[in-house]
Order: sequence, then C-alpha cells, then structure tokens
Amino acid sequence: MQMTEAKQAEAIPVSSKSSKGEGLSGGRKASGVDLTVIVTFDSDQVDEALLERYREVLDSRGESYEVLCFFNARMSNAAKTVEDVAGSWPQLKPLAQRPWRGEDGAVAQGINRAAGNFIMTLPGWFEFAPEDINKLIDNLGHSDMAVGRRVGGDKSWWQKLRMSVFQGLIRILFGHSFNDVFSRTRLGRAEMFRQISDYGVRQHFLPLLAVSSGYGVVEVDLRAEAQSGKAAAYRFKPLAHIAAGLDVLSLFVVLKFLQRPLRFFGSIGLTLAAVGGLITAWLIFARLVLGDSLADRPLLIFSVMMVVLGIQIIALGLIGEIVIFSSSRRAKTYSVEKVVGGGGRSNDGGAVGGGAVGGEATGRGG
Amino acid sequence: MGVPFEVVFVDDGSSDATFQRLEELAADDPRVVAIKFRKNAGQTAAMAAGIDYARGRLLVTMDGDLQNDPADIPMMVEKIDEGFDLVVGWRINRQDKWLSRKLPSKIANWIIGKVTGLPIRDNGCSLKVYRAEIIKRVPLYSDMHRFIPAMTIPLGARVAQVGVRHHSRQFGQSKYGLSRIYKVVLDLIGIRTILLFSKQPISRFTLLSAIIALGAVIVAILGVFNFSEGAASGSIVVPMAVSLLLGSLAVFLLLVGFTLALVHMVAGSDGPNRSVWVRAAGHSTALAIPPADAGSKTSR
Repeated sequence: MQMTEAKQAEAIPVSSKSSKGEGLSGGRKASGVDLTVIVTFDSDQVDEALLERYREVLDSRGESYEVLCFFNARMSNAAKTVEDVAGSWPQLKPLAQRPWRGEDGAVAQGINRAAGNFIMTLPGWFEFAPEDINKLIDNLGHSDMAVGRRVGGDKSWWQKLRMSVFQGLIRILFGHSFNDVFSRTRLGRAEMFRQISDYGVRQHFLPLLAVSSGYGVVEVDLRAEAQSGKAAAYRFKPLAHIAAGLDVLSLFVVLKFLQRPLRFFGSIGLTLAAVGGLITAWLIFARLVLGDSLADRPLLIFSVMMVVLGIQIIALGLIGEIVIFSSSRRAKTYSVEKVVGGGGRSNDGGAVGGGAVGGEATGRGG
Repeated sequence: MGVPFEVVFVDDGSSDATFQRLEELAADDPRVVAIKFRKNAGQTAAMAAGIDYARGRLLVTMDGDLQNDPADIPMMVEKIDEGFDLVVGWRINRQDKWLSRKLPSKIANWIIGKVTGLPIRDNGCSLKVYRAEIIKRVPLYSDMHRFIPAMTIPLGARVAQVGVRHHSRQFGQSKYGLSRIYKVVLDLIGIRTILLFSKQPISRFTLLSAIIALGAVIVAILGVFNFSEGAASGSIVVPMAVSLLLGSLAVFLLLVGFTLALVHMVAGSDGPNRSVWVRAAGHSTALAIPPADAGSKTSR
C-alpha cells in the first residue's frame, strides 16, 4: 500500500522538517508487520463497539498490523472484555499490566514491544470517529508523526480553559503550537517513537518531544465523536492539572539543560549567593566600621540563608554535571538525518544511538 | 602531503543548499563524507559527529567558514610526529574586532588557563590536530568544544601550541558574543569540578566542608562572647542561627562530596576516565585511513 497525499492540504504542519515518505509499507522491514496499534484502557469499562470499529478500519486497509491492548490487570471486567474480543481478532494482543502505571506506562511499554515499522496510539474511548484513522494515515505523508486534532464536539468551559492554558504554556516555553495537546491519537515511525520515549515523560508530550528532536510533525483534523466512557467519567481534578503544568516546566528544564545542568542550577544559585553575600558583607561592614549591632538583626540570618541556599543549589548542579559527564559516552547529543559519501557509507537516517561508522544515523553512542 | 585522507563535513541543520552541494561533492569524490543533522545541534555536537564518523588515525578539525587556512595542516601534523597527542592552533594575526572579539577572548583564555591549569593561548581556534585514540575518548557535549585541550588532561595527553594563519570571515555570521560569558563561567566551574574529581574525588569537598564548619564554630563563639555585648537580652539567637545554617551547609557539602565520588566510582569502569591512556612506542602517525571494518573498531 502506498501513502496517498491527496489530503495533504488538510494537515497542518507543526514543524516544516520532514524526512522519508515511503508509506506504512516502506522503510526498514524489521519485523514483517507494518503497523503496531497501541490502545490503552485505564478504566474497568471497555467498549467493545470501539474495538470493533477500530478493527473494521484496520482490516479494510492493506497493511499488516498488530494491536497491543493494555489494561489494568486488577480490573476483571476490562480483562474479560478484551480477552473475549481477542478470541475472534487474532491481531489483538491483550496485555494486562501489574502494577498499572497508567496510560503513560502503558504507551511506553507498547512502544518497547511494538514489532511494526510504524506505531499508532489510539485512545480507549471514542475520542474521535474511528473511520478517520484512514485520514491520519493518509496525511502522514513525508512527515515523521501525524497527530490527531479533534474538530467539533462539545467541550465544557473548563476543558476549553485548561486546553488554552496548556497550549499557551507550551507555545511560550517551547515555541511550538499544538491545537490539541491532549489528543491521544498519533501515528509515526517506530524508531522515532523509541527515541523520544526514552525521556520517560507523559505520553501527552510525545509530539512535543518529536518536534524538539527535529522530527516533522503534522496535525490532522479528526471528527470528534459523541464521547463515551471518558467524557462521562471526566471530573474536575485541579491537583492533576497542576501536576501536569509542573511536568511541562520540568520537561522544559530537562530539554534545555539536559547537557548542562550547572547552567540552570548555577544561574539560580549564583544569583542567590551573590545577593546574600553582598548583604552579609554590608552587615559585617556595618558591624566592624559603623559599630552597629548584628546580634538582634534578623537580616543577617536571611542573607546567610541566601548564601547557603545558593551554594546548595550550585552543588546540586555539580552533581548533575558529574552525572552527565560520567554518562556522556552513552548520551545522545545529535540526531543524524542523512549520511552520504565515504565509499559506500551512505545512509538516509533513521535509527538513533549506536555505532559511528557505517552511516548509521546516530547519537553519541557507546 | 602524499598520504591518504578523508574529509568529513557536518551540516548542522542548515536550511540552505549546503547539504545538496556536499552530496554533489561526495558523489564525485569517495573521500568526502557528508553528515546532515536533523536539526541544529551546535558546534560541539557537530564536532562530535565528525569525530565519531572519522576513520583516520589523525584527526584535523576546522570551521567551515574559511577563517582557518588548510595550508597550516602539514606543519601541525609534523608537530604530532614530534610526540605530541594534540596540537592546538593559535591565530597569529586574528582578523576580528579587538574590543568585541579579541579582548573578551584574551580574558576568557586567561581564565580558562588559570582554572584548568592548562594555559592555552587560543581556545577558540578550531584548527587542531589530534590523535584519534585521544579525541575519541574526550566527552563532547553541550559547549565542551571550547575545553577540549583541558579535557585531555585526565587522559595524560601531551599538548603543543603552534601559530596559524587566520583570514577574515567570508561566510555566515559569528554567533559568539559577550552574552555567552556567563555560560563560559558556569561551564568552567563544571570543568574545574570534573578535573578535580578525576584526581581526588572526596578530599576537595571534605576540605570545603571543614572550612565552612570552622566558620560555623567561629560565628557561634563570636555570638556568645562578642555579638551580644550591648545588645538586648536574648540576642544570641541570631548568631546561633547563622552558625547552624553554616553547619548544615558543611554537612550538606560533605554529603555532596560522597555522592559525587559515588557517581564517579560507579561510572569509573565505563566512564570517560576509566583508564589512563598510554601511547605505544613507535606508534605511527601516518594519516592512513584503515579499511571500513577496521575503522568501525575505532568508533565509540
């Protein structure tokens, strides 16, 4: 099957970078399976109709595929439903996780186990009309990842607000603009998924990590379906949203200062220590020259505390620096798209991390 | 020079026709290798990629803006033949503005020399010649390319400096400026720590911790016998609090020292300083490119 690009106009590029575009049947044949689909259920209610509609779409296409279906091993209803469906659907592999590490852990596990050359992640509820999977595949084109963007459907004011806040935060911190940051529908090359999932972050950030790593990502409009399951179960969870916001900030720090932790910690620590040191110096001057009493001035405690805190933060940066230095032979500091020349060392990119000679696209690997 | 060689070009995510031209070059000449990055990754990463892919026994690095003169390479290789492991160029008649480029560079080189203990005149000069077995073991990440000579210290490398020609910039814009000073300062602190820990992992932090602990004791004594004179009753609380803060810092730094030593030791068997490099007697410095399969053994 060849990828069609007839609907390319509907795909909104988040990043202009792109690489190969052989379609789901192209690229390296590592396994004999074109596509691995990862579906996660984080509740005990598994909608059989959803799986049936996913199956109809996947069977109607020409690619070989497998479906990795993750659910919490302690949820007996989910296990029974998925195993019943698997009885008549040979490509479906039920994977009960224990302990359950949430959707993030399931997606990471799915990426590790995937045998396909391409990976598609799908939600365990009606996030969008399953028939639009075709649209997602057709719009991958020459990009490395296609991300679904739900169009239509009703959202509460709170859902709209949290979406706007996260979009704004991501745009400010990373400079990339995603219209549906909570979409769980993505399609991309397996090798890219493996590289970006190394960070071990929330699955929501996978498109962001892909763009930040230099991969081409497009957003594809998908029709939102009258949601079942998740929509009914949706609740106002302020702490979870605050945690997600902090995760965005953490990701920003990690991506920006991964190679140089001392720059992050040092900037904060040096500022604190310098301000604290100046205040302390002034107080000592006032004590020795002007004869002011220090013993009853709490400002001295405050200034010394700033110095202490500053030194502690710098020391944390030094720990990070030594850790990075010690692991630098395994760290990836670049991502090669293509290598040509050298008398047969040609390569057109793909794998990241590994050897150097032989044209492998590589990080600084060991 | 009459020796076999290869040229490795690294395209650091350019958006112009650079890689297309490199592909044409590579198609015409099998000695040319061109590497294209998926996205801009910086000068250090570009150098790391070039070094990873290089197969020669001697490696020459230089910028792609023709500010360095390739005619200096034979002279630098001769210096390697004298027994050095790394030959660093320094630009004799540097064609840059004095106030914005040369002066900050002089200051930075002086500071780097003092901090690292290796007084290199021109760390910013990219024209360098290395033995492959040395440079392939230097960890290159972030902006580490500025400190390559210093990072070879733990490997026991012999470093030489030679004057090289320098031409005014003809292509592109320099991305260096005064704004990078704070980064260099913080990088230096990191480099200094790394260099210290390659020799004495725990003792430096123990010493620092002991000094601060002594300070805590002195503040406490002053608080009891001096600070409270003439002050209100109960005012000993402030110096005592300061003393406790310093004491806690001393304990913290001691623990940081242990942690760093632990990390260093755990990585020791596989880390960048896992053993001292010793050059075999009679080692050839010929620029021979080994066969492809042999070359792969030299990669990291």
